[in-house]
Amino acid sequence: MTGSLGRRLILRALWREKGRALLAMLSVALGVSVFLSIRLANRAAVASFEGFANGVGQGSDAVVRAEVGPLDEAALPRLDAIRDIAWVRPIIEGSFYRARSKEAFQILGTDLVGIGNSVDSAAPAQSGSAPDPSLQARFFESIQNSDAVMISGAFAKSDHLLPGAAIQGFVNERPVTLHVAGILLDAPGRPALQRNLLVMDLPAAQETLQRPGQLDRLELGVREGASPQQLDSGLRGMLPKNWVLEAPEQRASSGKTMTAAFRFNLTILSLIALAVGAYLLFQAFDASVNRRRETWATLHALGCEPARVLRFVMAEAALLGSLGSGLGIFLGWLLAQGSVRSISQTVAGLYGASSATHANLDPGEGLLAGAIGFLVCLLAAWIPARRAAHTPPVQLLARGGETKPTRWVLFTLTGLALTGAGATLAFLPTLPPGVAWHAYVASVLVLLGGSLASVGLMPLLGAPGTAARGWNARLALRPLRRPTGRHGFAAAALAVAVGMATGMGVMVQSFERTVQTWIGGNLRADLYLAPLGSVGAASQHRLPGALADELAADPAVLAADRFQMLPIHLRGQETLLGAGDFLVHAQYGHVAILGAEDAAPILLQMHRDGVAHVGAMASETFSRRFGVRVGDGMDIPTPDGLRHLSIRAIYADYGNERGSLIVDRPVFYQWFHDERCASVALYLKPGQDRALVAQRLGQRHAGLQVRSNADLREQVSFVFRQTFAITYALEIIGLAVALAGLVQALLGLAMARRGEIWTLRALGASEGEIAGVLLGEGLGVALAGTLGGLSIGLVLAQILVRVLNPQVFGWTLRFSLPWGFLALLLGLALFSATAALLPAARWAARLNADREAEEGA
Amino acid sequence: MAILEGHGIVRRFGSRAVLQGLSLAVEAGERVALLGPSGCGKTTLLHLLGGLDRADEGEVRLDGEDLAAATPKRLAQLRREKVGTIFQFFHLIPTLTARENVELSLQLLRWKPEAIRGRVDELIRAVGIESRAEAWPSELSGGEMQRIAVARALAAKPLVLLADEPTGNLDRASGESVLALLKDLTDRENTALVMVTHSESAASLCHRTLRMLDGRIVEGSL
Repeated sequence: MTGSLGRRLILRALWREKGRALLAMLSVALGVSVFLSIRLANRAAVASFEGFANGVGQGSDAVVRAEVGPLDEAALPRLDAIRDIAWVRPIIEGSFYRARSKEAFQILGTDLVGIGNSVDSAAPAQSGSAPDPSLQARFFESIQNSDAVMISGAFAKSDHLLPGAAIQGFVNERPVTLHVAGILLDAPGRPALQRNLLVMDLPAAQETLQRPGQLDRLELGVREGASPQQLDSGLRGMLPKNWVLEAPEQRASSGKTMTAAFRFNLTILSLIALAVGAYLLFQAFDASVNRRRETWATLHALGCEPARVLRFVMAEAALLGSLGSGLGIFLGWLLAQGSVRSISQTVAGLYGASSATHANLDPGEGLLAGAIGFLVCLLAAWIPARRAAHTPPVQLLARGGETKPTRWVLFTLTGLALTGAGATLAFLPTLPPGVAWHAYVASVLVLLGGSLASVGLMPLLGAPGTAARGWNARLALRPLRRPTGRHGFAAAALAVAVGMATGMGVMVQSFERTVQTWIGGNLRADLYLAPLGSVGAASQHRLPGALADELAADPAVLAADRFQMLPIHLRGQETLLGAGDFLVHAQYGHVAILGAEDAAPILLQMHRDGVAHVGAMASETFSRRFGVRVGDGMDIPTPDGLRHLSIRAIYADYGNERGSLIVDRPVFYQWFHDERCASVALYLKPGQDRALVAQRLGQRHAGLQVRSNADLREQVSFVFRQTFAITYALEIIGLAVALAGLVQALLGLAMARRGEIWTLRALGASEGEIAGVLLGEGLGVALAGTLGGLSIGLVLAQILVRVLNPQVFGWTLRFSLPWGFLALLLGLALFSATAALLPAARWAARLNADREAEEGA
Repeated sequence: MAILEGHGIVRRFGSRAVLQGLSLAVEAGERVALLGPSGCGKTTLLHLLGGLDRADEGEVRLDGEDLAAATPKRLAQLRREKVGTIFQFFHLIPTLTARENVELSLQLLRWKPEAIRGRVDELIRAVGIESRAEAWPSELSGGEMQRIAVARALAAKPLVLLADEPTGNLDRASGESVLALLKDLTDRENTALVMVTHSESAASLCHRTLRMLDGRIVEGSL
């Protein structure tokens, strides 16, 4: 494309400016790696929703599950007719809480003998030798014991567990001791096993979970020679009522839906590094084109066409983009191994179903990240390349080109216009729920516009330099009055990073405050009891009805509100059906009903209506997902067929993204014949000591966690801190990239001003004084970027809180400013800027006199 | 008494010795011209004399003080108090006005504002740019810029003025005017002048002319 001249010009320039080339390459690599690592880690964490099949057995081609509740094992023989076409693997799942390490494990029961060939065990498998058939036989005999469990290699290794070792813990509230029968080894070519997976033989698992005859799903795999279509047609008409056939991807996508908010959060944040990196690249190419303006002028003078000059610069960008993206993909894969644990812990904390420990390099994700890095690099080089190609040689050769002031007034006005357009677009009236494209576009406009407008802050900050008496202040501040492109890019990059951090910080604070207020208003009970290890609405732990009755009958208890939650399939989507004691809730509790001051009359009416005219409350998220309003009717699948209910109220709920529908408990019992509950809220009689009662109940029921209102609030804060820990890490990466850009800008400015520095030295200014001037100038840029970023962040936060969350997730949040966080961010940005700029300023103050002397000798 | 002395000065850049055992002495109030072809080491010598660079061998003494033994801080102080420098490309600070550029030397010496004002007024009158004192460097002609540079270099009443081709970037009339100014002011303030030049006519204004070739002084009394 560019010929040997191009190769000479590009490669030699890159070699001469190794530092700049490396920095540009690293900018691309860092952006690509952060973006990719988050996506890979997230993918690995979410992938664990896909279940057992990918881990220890063959992948399945289809899954059969009930529309609601468990499958009845007794109906399994109906599938005998398709055994020639497909194998069938029954699955039951449950939770086990290991008190010693305070860890939740997932119990997975299946027909281990049936898939024995797929399972390796440390006991029978001797490395380097063929499996001994008698050992295998004894092994399969041993795993049929009711307490036999197979554990992951990671768990065995970390806890030094060998076959025969006992694992004590709780299933629901019952103490249970399991014994290690074998160790599952990671198989080559398959995803690594989750650490906290306990695999049991099906009957043993059913006995341990106290769910005899029940299954959660059937996994089906097409046999060799048969086709998925044969399986599909074979199953048609054969499945019992309420059994549904779905592709494994549907299950995976359900898991993905569960973490949509979390993934959205991470993806947006992982783009910070790319966005900030784009500014740095622009800056790097701009500086490079500037430094070589004599080359471009000479080429023009020699008759080189502008298009060819443009190709030289773009080819250089393409080279750096390719190398940077390649490096970024490798670094991203490395980083993903570290971040997957953090993300996985968060997903496990929120959704109780993930424990991925490493991430595989997905070719599609790698390609996407690499392509984005490459394109960002080309985009960043486009304007400088056009300038090199189309600026007349005389202008290119003019002195002072490197420090030419930028058109900051134009930038500021354009930036303000873009910000205004973004803000207007974000608040477009009445778009249907779920539609949020305008908010995404608006966010980009605000980020871009705000960062451009930040350039306009520099002349304001530099204004005191006009009247300053001290030479140091004059020299530090006056360049800001007429900022150059370098000043502008550095401030804009920092503004993007600080803006994203501010926006996310405000959103997190608003979210946390809203939830805390919601909990404070809604959870009025004195104590909350649930099986150990229960987390969130997706928890599989259940309390037996008898135990709930016993707790309700305690002499200290005034009333008990039993809460149950069940996943159901509605209109092809997974959601939750819950049950609570409406009467107790109306008398003692509180629920935030949208559009109603007092929920009690609505709850009492629904209780009185009973099963005859079932009424339900829908969460805000449910209402958005299914497009239902108060007064709408819905048919709910139950083991006995469809049952009808009407929506009587919409309530605020921040507990899950799937949405939930709540009916009165007697209705639930009538429909599902299930008297278990997920948790019990106890209202104590007046005069009862809450702590003493909690202690007494805790001692009597070792398998229960007894929490007060304050404990719940603390847990919410903990979940928030855990959820957003990685987002803070990403924000810090964004800031670090922006600060690297600031240092790069300062060094570039110092190089361009080396004549001035030389003069100051000749006039007797000390290195410290010169470094002080440069530091002051750099800090002025940092302050402009930080203040601009804070302003951008506040507008962005409005979009995130008031538009994106309600539109995408159905969560109405109350806007709340985290003053402490904002002050900390300002301080952190300026402190880090000082720390980063100081050594650069000191280095620049000593700009090599030898070089000057040599040049002029 | 010599205000500026150099003995056996050697300065290398890599393997190339730009100055090869050069010696010289400059008396107070004396004007010395350094002539020689490009690359012979004139500018390097000027940097060493002004304490902007250090010799690899030999000794440079300014007002009796050995510059090799001075700390960077002391060197900066010596440059502030005893040396004035003029560059071929003027090197005015673009963000300071003409007056502020002259003030800069005195501010570095922490003179009181009233004293600075008086001295700057005096110099601005002396170099004849009263009407352009508040202009920005970008608004000045080359001759005007160099006049400001001369005023700035002489502001602190240095013992020695080092001028690196002060007329090299000026037209003939402006060059002559700047040279006359240099002669006049160094005479008036009894300041020694070491001037690197390619111009014989510029050199003729000096008391002595030293010719350099390949890092050595080949003609003229030391």
